[in-house]
Amino acid sequence: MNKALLSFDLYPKVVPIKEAVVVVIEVLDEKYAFKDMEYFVKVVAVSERINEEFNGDTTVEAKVISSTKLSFKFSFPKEEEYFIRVYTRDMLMRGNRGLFQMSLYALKEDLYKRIPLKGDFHSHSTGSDGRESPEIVASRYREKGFDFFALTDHGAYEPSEKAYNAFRELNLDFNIVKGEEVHSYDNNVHIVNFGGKKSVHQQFRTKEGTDSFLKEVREIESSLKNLSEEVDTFIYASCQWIATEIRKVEGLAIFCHPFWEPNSRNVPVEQSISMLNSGMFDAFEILGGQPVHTNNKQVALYYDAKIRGKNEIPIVGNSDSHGTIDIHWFDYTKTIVFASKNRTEDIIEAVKGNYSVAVETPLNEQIRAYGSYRLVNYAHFLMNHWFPIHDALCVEEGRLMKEVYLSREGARERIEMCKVDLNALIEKYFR
Amino acid sequence: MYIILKYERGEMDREMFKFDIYPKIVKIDSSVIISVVSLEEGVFLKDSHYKIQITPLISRIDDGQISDRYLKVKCFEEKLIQFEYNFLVEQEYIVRMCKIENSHEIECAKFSLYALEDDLYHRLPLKGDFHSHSCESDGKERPEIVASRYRERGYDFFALTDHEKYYPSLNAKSFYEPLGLDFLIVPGEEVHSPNNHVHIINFGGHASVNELFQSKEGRDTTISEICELKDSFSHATLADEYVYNSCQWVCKHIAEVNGLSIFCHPFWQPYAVNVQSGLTQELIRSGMFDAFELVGGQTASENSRQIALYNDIREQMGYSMPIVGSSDSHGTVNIAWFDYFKSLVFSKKNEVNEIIESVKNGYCVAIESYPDEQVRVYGSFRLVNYGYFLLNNWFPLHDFLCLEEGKSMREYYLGQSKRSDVEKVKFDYNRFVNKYFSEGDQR
Repeated sequence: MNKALLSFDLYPKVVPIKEAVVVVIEVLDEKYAFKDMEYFVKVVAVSERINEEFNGDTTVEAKVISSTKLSFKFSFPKEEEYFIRVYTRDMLMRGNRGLFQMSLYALKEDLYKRIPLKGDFHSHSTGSDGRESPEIVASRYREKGFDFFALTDHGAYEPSEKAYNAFRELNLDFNIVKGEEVHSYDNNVHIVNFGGKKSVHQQFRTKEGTDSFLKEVREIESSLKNLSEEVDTFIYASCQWIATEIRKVEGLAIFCHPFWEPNSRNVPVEQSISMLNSGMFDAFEILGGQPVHTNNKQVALYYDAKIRGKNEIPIVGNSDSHGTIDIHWFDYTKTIVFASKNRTEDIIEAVKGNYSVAVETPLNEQIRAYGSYRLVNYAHFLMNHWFPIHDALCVEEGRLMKEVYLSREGARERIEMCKVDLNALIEKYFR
Repeated sequence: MYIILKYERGEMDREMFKFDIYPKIVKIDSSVIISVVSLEEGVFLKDSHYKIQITPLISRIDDGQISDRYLKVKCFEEKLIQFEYNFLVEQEYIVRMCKIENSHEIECAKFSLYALEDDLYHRLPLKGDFHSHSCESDGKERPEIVASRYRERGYDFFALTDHEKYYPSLNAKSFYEPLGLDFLIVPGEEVHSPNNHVHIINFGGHASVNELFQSKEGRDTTISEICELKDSFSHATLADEYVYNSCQWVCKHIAEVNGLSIFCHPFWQPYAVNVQSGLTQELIRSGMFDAFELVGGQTASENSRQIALYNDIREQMGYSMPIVGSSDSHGTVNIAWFDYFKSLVFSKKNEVNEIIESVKNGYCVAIESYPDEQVRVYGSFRLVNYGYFLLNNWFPLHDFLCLEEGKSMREYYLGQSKRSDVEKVKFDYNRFVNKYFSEGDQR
């Protein structure tokens, strides 16, 4: 965690542009207590200032509210990160670098109205080839500070319902989304049904279902035009059928990890590009649970495809975790979605509207974000200044979810006491 | 899913210690003979039979079967197996060799080859750095030491680009010239025009641009020329307009001395960002620079934002501005940034004008390799894919051969060894290329 976050608090951290807001700075250790003297705040627009030591930055007087609190009023002109540096008059006169520095982000209206949600659209449990039971997986995601996650077992929708039902009565601000990974006959493209009200894979469990699927796919296949020779039309048509069915049940259809290399690539390049540009999928899993080089190549492909096809292709970053304890991929790659609420339909709307970034945090590596510059810039701020606070609060709730699942005595009472109230948190840091 | 260890940083493919495999890079659609030499006893036995599976990595869907092509070969000579194959599509191919023993198959080697289309096949992969410093400006070591350290790390070329100084790069270059090495020391400088906070590299120019404004008169003339530049640029403040025009002036003068102008690290954050985001966007869009330093000597979050902005602009314009990756190293011993960022340039020759031509035509990828982090390659998908192959299969061998030469360069500079000593450990690049590219003799 950013050191300053443990010693100081600043709220709101996210503000609307061009509105006078009162910002409170609070010290979290009496050693930093404010004295009976004048304090000033320098506001530095991070991407507007050049690298000289803050000459000509806006300096405003701060008001001492108490020995632990200071406040100042300011209207932030542009959408970006601002450094807030606290000075005594003496320090200001001497050109000193000040007492400490915090960060704040100002947003234009559209983004300001949305809240950042950390999520994973793709994971597995013992409901297919994962390691833990659905309920345990859910508790582990919460422990790591996720606002939502979907359990998407191979060909199985029921495990996600099981996870959802286990914690439904607790009314947590943790959104357990229903889902599945759909695998149709003779098609090795992996497609996630995120948030669908029903299973799509279900149909392949009976012979009649498979037969009617094949019949419809053949029809789609015969109507396909202008595809490159390298594209397998049966697979193309199957994917189109699946994605359409996912939308019928109000789910988000995600094209997963084409460059995963079990032996050779999961999906050939031309096939991937052509399906990406067709718009048949709602989102592309630009980062998946795989080694960095594989994700790195997928990112390169994504931009090549986008430039060639001039299409918007929404993105998500997923872990595809097959285990959540001491195992690779869990929590390495994820998505920050900017949605109006933490509800599945709002998350889907946000992703389709390109309000998402994929975030890469492999073990012991620096944070990287992928998406539009606007959201990448904001995401870096959030990863450094918002999620550390948010995630710390989720740890206890996640841990207690497991105790509730295990029916431990007093677990329900304890989880009531330390529930994360996302609205209250947003109220404090965003309003 | 499992981790493929061979892709982790610094991990030489185990196969490269056990076998010598050549060529590694072949031209598509032409039959080639691949030689696999076991460097150890008892692996390839005379008169034994071997099965070879060749799996194209990207042109087919993985359907659970290991391969779609098998060859059977006999070992005619102890330690050597040869087979002929025609690789049809540009991509990586995985070759798996098994010994057939009493109708059992025992895997004895697994390695990669890369097939290329004509244009890329005729270009050499060169590892280089376009941006570095010596103690002649604010770096740590002498220019000659910096040069030797780059060679030690397997660079084919590097430019010394001290702040406001061109001559240190010439000194480094001329010092090693008599040795006739296949290591290219490129003249260069970091240009800081008056009152302009944008850092611009003059890579390979045959004269200095900084020197144009280092005298009082030169400075006055430069400023008045910049002020006279009228441009359609009208989006920002007056202060920015001056900076914008100043950049134009610098780029024009770099072009006049046949150098490559590089727009450096806009999102470097010494305090706040180096170049304001609005101006950065204008500068990239304008096309005034020959190349953009996509990743440079800074943290991943700084680079990550530069990459996002660059991709936004690529999408908006439908055009990819040429990129480079460079370290901006200010020291080469035990210090951050050196060798973390570099470029792979695909160039017809290891010569300055060819490297510049290649970068301008998009034949370059930027590499990010922080210690203890996995390697990332940025650029077009085609070159990224090839770049990874080279990092794992070409450069480990190549860099190994450069190591001795780099060490001897330093000893030579320090007067600890003679020219003849350096010659003994010289890396013969052409020989290396001829061995590992197919049709070597025709190149």
